Amino acid sequence: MRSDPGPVAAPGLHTGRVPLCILLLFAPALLAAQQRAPHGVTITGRVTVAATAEPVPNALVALEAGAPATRTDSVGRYQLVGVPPGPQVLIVRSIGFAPTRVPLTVGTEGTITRDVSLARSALTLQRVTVTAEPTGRARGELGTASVIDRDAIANQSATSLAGVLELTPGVAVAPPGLDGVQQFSIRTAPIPTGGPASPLGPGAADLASFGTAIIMDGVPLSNNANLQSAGPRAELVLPSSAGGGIDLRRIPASTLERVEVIRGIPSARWGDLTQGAVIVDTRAGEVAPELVARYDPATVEASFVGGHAMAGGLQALSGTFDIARTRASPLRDDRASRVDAHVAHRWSSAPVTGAADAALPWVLDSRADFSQLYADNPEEPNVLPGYANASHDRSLRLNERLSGPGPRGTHFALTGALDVTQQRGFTQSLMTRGAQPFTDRLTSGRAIGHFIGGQYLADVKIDGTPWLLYSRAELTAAPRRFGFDHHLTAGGELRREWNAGAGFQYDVEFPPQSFFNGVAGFDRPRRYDAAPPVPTSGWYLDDRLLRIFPHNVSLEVQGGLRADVLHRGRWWLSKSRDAVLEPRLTAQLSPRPWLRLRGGIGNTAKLPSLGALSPPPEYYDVVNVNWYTSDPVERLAVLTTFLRNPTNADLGWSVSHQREAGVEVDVGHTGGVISVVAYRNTVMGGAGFASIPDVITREHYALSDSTIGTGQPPTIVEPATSVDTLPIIINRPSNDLTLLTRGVEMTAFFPEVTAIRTQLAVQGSWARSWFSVADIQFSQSQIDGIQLQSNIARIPYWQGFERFGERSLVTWRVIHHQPRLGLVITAVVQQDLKQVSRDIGATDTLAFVGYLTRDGQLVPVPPGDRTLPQYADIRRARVGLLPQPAAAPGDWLLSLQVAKTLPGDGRLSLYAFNVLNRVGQYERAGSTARLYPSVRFGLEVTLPGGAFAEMLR
Amino acid sequence: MRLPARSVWALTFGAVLLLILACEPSVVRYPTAGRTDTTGVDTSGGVIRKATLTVRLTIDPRDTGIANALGWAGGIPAGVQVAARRAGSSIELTASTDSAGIARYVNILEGNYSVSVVRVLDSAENARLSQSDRDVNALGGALALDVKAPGTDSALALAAGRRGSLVISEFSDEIPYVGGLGQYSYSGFVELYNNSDTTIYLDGKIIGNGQEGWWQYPTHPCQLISPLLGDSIGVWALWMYAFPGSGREHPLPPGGLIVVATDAIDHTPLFPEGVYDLSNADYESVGSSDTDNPGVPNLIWLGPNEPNTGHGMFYFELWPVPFLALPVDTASLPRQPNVINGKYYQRVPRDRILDIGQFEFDLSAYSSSAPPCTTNPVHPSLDQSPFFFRGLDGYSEQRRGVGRLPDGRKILLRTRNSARDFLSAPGTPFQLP
Repeated sequence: MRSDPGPVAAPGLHTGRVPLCILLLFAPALLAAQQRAPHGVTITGRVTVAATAEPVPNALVALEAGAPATRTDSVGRYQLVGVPPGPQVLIVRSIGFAPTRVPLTVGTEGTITRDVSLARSALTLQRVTVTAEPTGRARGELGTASVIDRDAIANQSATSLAGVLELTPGVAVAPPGLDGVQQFSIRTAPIPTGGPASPLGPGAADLASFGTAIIMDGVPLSNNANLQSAGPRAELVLPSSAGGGIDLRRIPASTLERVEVIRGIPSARWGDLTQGAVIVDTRAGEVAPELVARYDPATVEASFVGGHAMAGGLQALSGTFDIARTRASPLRDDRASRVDAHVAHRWSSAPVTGAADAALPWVLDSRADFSQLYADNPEEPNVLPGYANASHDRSLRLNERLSGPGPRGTHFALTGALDVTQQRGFTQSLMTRGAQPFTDRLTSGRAIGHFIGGQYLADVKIDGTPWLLYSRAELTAAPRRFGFDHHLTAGGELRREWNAGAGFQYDVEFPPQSFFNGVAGFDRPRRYDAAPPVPTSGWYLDDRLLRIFPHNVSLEVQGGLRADVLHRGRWWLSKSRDAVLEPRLTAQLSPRPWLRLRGGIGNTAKLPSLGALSPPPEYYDVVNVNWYTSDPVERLAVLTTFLRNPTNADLGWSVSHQREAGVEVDVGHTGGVISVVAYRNTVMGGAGFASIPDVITREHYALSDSTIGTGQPPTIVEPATSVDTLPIIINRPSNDLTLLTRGVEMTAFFPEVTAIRTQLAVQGSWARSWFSVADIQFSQSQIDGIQLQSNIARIPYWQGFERFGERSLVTWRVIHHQPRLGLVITAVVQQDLKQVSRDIGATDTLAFVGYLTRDGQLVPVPPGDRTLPQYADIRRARVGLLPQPAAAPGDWLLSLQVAKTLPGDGRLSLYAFNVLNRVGQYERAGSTARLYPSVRFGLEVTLPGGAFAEMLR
Repeated sequence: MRLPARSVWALTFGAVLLLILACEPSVVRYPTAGRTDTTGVDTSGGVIRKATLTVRLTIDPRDTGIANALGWAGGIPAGVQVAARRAGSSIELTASTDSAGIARYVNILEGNYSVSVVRVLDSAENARLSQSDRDVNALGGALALDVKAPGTDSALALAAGRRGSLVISEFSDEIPYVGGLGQYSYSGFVELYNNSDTTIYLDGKIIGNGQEGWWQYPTHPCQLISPLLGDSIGVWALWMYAFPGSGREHPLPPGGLIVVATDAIDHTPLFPEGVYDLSNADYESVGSSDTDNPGVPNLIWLGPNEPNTGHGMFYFELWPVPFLALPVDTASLPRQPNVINGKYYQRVPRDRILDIGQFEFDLSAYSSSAPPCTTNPVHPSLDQSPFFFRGLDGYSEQRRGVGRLPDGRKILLRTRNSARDFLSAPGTPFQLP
């Protein structure tokens, strides 16, 4: 339960097999944990009811960023000691009232007095936040972050986490709903990467080896073992998030308490990421019951949240339930639905007292999360006969976390989680192929085949069961050494991911691919459980230091080192297959309390997907005999099947090298903040597919009898009359992709114009990405040519290419707030300023770097020799690259949101996405399309527990 | 000391505005000044202009004797219908020549037009010709021109169309597409007809496909393939197949026809519409992945490329250029690369060409933003204007008939002008309609 901001990064130690290295990592923390002393500012004040000025006893008062925390006394007084300098958010909670957040800038010494008023509805508070916090910090993190709290989430009219993330810079707005896979990646320009699954390939956000980590309730969600992909040779594209980040539709917005988007360099606690992390806390603990219902023409959603304290506050049981359904288009029957339920229990050995010398209690958090996400796109015979697909995912996650006091003043935390998702689905498509010889052989060798052809229904059943076993042991200490306040964290993570599903199954004769050139064979069905499990371990040490200098100057440094190991065997005790060290450092200097200069540098690493680590074999079927008489009984097809294993034993982590530098300025006491951050992020070694040449042979046979009309097929005469060679290209997963992104993010929160109670918030993002493929490349038509034509002796190959994308986006939010009326109106203008993509690479006839021979050999040609006459046959222009920039025109759209209190402390929200129904612009000569979703009106009603009970009566 | 708030806000506003201005989209455009699309909508933002086109018909000087024999005063073809079609459009405009041999189109859109004429001779007219011209069955001609406002004048000389020998009587490269059911690419065929009065031996004769058209893409401009288009010396072949035999093993009598199939099988069980039973085809081409019917003789692949379908003979459906040729030694033919598709082409000399057609698919339904490099992939001396076809399932391109000989044999039109020589109709392989 993370609603109550208990000790952050609470320490812990895994009780199972403990390698020596983890003990060594823990040693500094243990040794350093001898001197603890609160250092910083004291905040005092009184908590009262806004309407009556009566004191609120036993209200929890805490820093949002973590400790310290306390409770008000019988007359509503509180005192927080040891508050660190910098921007802080004071959060005050009491059952029956809306949580109240008080942002303040804390100096290096002295006492601050802040009285806080509570109200039953956040809309009637003097201050309500409907955007990401302008100076927000993720708990325990110093890197640049966007923090989105419950008030902003409630105002966002989002159906899933994806809608909430629109509050971060550079993310485009979209109507709420469950249609389409929703994935997220921080700080990339949207460019296709030319990877698997489609001719253009997925975007950078969709590649598993690039990605943003999603951490829910302290445990990472993982999509690494999702194998719902048809592979690089398939013609069917499956509607799945496989090969990339998790599908965010799985996380309902209604159950979110807080979202921290670490855009900068995360601390060493977090692994398996290349582009930041999203830390998600779900609603739990003592939560006033609340029922929310939403309706718009596409989406219907209802959710219930409630939590009850027991045993004098030492225990709390809470639950959330969400059910949603989206029909993507009134013209189609496509629909998606979700059922999501969370149950959380917290046991605590002692309540929060606020006493400075009070020991932190033992806390045991238990969670069980169930999520069901169904997407059905049924066949519409009058529109696209034969085409249909469905994806039914059901996941269960169990999560236990024990924290408490450790030895010598340390704190520990143990986390264990088991996550299993049952993925059932199918996709079918009507396919057409010409009459051709065919074999269904599953192993290498020659076989009598038969003839197939015509239309058929490629019906693929997908049965996946990805598992994630996760554990974390962590120990923290807060010593004071050499004039610095330290916050030391050492820990280790163990992960094991595997897939126990029956796999990708279909009738071999009716595969999800119809093209066959007589050499490149059809893929065969694949069992997912044939892929061995992937065990990984991560060890880290992180220290966050604070030093306060005279004249209100403070320096914060967060440095850490993380080691991630991909193991060779099935468990963690096996040898390392690949290991990576990731140093990370972020520093923030505050010459004045209102000015913060921040910079960071560090590495992170991401694991390739299970599908890339254990790819299925590739099949090649070579036609030896092709005898197709009019009488079917006389026909004879003989084919030889070759299997090639594309597994790359050297495939390992992709590594991201990140840098950022920024400035943050608070302006006076007006609540205005300006933040500008520049960053550079280079992900190297992303998992793509390398083209590996190989060779197979084709045997030609004479027939025993070539007479037609005998009523029986002929037989082949051994041995073969001749044998020739055929080059093939194997798609081998390889760490050959690089993604470089540079950009600037700007956030400006203007102070409220008090006369009209209106505030302006602006977020801008400009990003340029370069995606490059390091491996050699061939022309597919030329591969077909050399495989089909014996007179082609060689074909050229080229070096990889680079794809460039640029995007700039500004989002304006105008927020009008009338506390007395309990009214908030939010107007959002998304302004798409620039979006360009183009390919960078030579396309002329001298761009080739070598050639492939018929026996599968690569022969490089020195640049100076490429003009020689003997290479005339391979001097061919390279096609497929688009060096001409493709630019989408600038445009904008406006969305509106109106939230108003209802009698009984309820809330009514009306939203209008793209209220002016701006279409954007269609594709035309020289520019690509920019099309916006059409207007969508909807409403949302929130009934608090009291009103809900009243309604039920 | 605090920063003055107003200054900071002013600077911030300024920074945001500068960011917006700096990031104004820079839209890349094709050089399309004055270009209009097939619907007549100007895509360059200019003004739609109308023009008058005047076409004066004359007679090719080599054929003035024919005009004189027909009694055309002053050699002027009067009352002849002239057809004009704007590039990319399927709408055909017609006008008849006046007594001065002039046809006029008024108030038409500017743009590239192909103008074509065929004047079929009836039996009475044919009887008036000299003995050496008795194989002339029509006069025809075509030209391509750019019509500009206020008007464009042009002249078109009609030439005699002769029967020839082996001709393409029917050609099906349609890829049947049934909405939602996909497309089927393997039931193509070419039907050949002996249009002469003597037996033709197919042995070693060649059936092939020439260089197709291309669009003017900024990244792949037309100059890259211009050497392969409209070559007066011959036809650049993408692929060629030869009939088996080396002597007189495969005769085709006068009035005889044969069908050459891509796949000599019954395609009708394999796709619901637009395909044929070709299991009784006379010849087939075999690739590396299709079926080989041993009861149907195979054509011999000569290179320089095998169609990528793996099923043998396959015509790209947008700009097919089927041709027939006398046997040639392919090793001696000049080769030239197409640097765009990476393939080599071989040039078949024009004096070896027996018959050739050029076809252009109706692209008006496509939203291609680049203009085509040419509407005539073949040099006008070989074929003057392409036939414009719509790509209807089950339809094929069929050579028009111009009458029958006394023995009942049909004679097909061959004015070396595909635009006039062919028509689209439901396919009838194995028979002349």
